Amino acid sequence: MSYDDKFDASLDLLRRLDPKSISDNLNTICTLIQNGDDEGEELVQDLLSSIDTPLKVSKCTQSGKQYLSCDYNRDGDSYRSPWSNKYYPTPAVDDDAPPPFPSDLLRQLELKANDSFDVYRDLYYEGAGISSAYLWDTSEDENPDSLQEGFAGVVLFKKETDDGSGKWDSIHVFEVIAESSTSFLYKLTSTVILDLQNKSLSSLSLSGNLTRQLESTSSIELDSGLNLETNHLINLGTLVEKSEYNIRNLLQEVYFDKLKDIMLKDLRSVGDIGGKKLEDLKQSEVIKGLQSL
Amino acid sequence: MTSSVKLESLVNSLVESAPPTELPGVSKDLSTLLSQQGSSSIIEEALEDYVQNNAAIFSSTYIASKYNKDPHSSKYIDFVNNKKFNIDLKTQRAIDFESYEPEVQYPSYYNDLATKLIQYGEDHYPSTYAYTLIPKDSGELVIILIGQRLNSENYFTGQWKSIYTLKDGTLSGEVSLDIHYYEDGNVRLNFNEKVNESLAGSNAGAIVNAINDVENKITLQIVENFNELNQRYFKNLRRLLPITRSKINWGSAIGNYRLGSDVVHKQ
Repeated sequence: MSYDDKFDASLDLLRRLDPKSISDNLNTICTLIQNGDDEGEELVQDLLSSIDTPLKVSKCTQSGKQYLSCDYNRDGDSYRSPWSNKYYPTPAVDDDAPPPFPSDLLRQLELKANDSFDVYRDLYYEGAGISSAYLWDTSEDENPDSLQEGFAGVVLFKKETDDGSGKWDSIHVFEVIAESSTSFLYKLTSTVILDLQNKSLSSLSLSGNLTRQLESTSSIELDSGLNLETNHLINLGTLVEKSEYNIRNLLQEVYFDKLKDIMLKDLRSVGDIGGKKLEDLKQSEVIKGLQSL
Repeated sequence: MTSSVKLESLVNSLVESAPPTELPGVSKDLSTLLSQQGSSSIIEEALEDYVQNNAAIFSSTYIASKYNKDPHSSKYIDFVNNKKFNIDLKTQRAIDFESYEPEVQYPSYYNDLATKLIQYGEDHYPSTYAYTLIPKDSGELVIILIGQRLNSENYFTGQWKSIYTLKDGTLSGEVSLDIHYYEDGNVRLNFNEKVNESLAGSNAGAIVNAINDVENKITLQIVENFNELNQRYFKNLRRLLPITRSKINWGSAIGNYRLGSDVVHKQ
C-alpha cells in the first residue's frame, strides 16, 4: 500500500473510532505503521501534525505560569513557553538542528497576541482556563520581515470544569498571506474538542471534535494611525472570535439537537411511529425549554 | 517489526472503540494499514470477537452474538426460524444457511412473543430493526432487540440495543445507545443503563408491555440528561458572548478590559 493510502486510511480510522480515545488510538496507529523505514517515520510525523488531540498543560519555570502544548510548539520532547520563550524541559544541545524560535519582530507580536487572547479567555471562559498563542515565520529568508511578508500561528484555549464534567480544547491554526503591501489574507482552521459527561447524573456521554474553516481578506490603512502589528492583532482576534462563536453554535446544534433527533427519529421512538405521543413529547420539550429561559 | 501477539492486542484495542455500525469500514482501513503476514486473520478475529461481545445485525435481519453462537461450529443459531448461519464481516451478510433442530425446550409463550416483538419493532424502531429470542437450558430466555440506522449521506450512524434475560418473572439486562456523527469531525454519543423489572404476568403481552415501559422511561431519561448537560454544563463552559453581551474591541485598547475587571475584583 502506498504512503497516501496508509495516510488516508489512518485519518478515516481516527474519524470512525471513539473520539474519547483519540490520543490512545493515535499512538496505537503510529505503532502499527512504524515499520522501521523512512516512509513509516514520515507517515508518523505527518499524522501527529494532522490530528488534533486534547492539549497538554506544561509549566514555565521562569514565569511560574502554565502554558498549552501541541505539535506547533514542540521540539522533540520539549515545548516552548509563550511567556519566557524557553523550551521545557531544556532540549539537549544539537548544533545541527537547534530548536525553532520566531524572528524578533514576530516574537514581539507573539507576546502581544498572548496578552490579547488571555483577555479574550478571561471574558469568554469566565475567568477560568488557560490560553497560549504561538507564531512562526513562513518566509525562507534568514531575517524575514514576517509582519509584512506573512506568517503563521496557532491560538489555543483549554478549560475543564472543577468536577471534570465538561472539557473544552480549542485549536485555531492560521496563516497570514500577504496579497500586496497593504492587503492580507487570513486563513483559519478551527477545531474544538468537547467532552461532556456527568457520571453522577447518568452514563450519557457526548464527546468528540468538530473542525471548520474561515478566511477573510483585510486591507490595511496605515495612515489611520494603527501600525501593521496592531492591524494583524485586530484582524486575527476578530477572526478567531468569529470562528469560535460559529463553532460553539455548531456544537450546540450537533451535540444537543442533532444527536437527540437521531435517537428519537431514527433509532427508537417513544410513541407509535408518527403517532401522537412523539408530538406530545416534542411539545413538552418546547414548554420545558421556554420555562428554563 | 511488531510481534503477532502484540499486533493482535493493538488491533483489538482499536476495534473495541469502533461504532457498532461501521465494522466493514474499520476492517478496510486496518487492512490498508497492515501488511504483515497473518494480519488479515488477526483483523478478522478482532471483528468476530467484537460481534460476539456486542451483538450485531447481519443481512438486516439476523443477530449474531455470544448468546446464540453454536458451540460446535463457526455458526450462529437463529432459534426463531430454526436455522444456523455463518457471518460475512466484510459485507455484513448472513451466509451458508442450514436447518437446525434445537434440543432446548422453548417456553410456552415463545411464538406469541416473537409475533408481538415484530409488531413492537414496527411501532417503535423507525429504521433497521432486528430481534431474536434465545432459549437456554436453565429456562432463561435471552431477548435481543437492535434498531440501527446507517446514513452516510448525512454523516451519521447509530444503534439502539437492548439485551434482556427473562427469568422467574424478572426482566434484567442492559439498554445501550451509540450514535456517531462525523461531518467535518467525529462526535460520539454513548449511553448504557442496567434494567431490572418485575413482570406483571408471564404471557407475551406482559413481557412486551414491560419492555415498552422500560424503554420509554429510558428514552425520556436520556432526553432529560441531554437538557441537563446542555443547561448546566455546556452553557457555562464557554460563554456565547462576554458578560458585556458584545464582541471584543480588539487592538491596543484591549487592556482596558483587564483594568475594568481589576476594578471589579478589587471592590
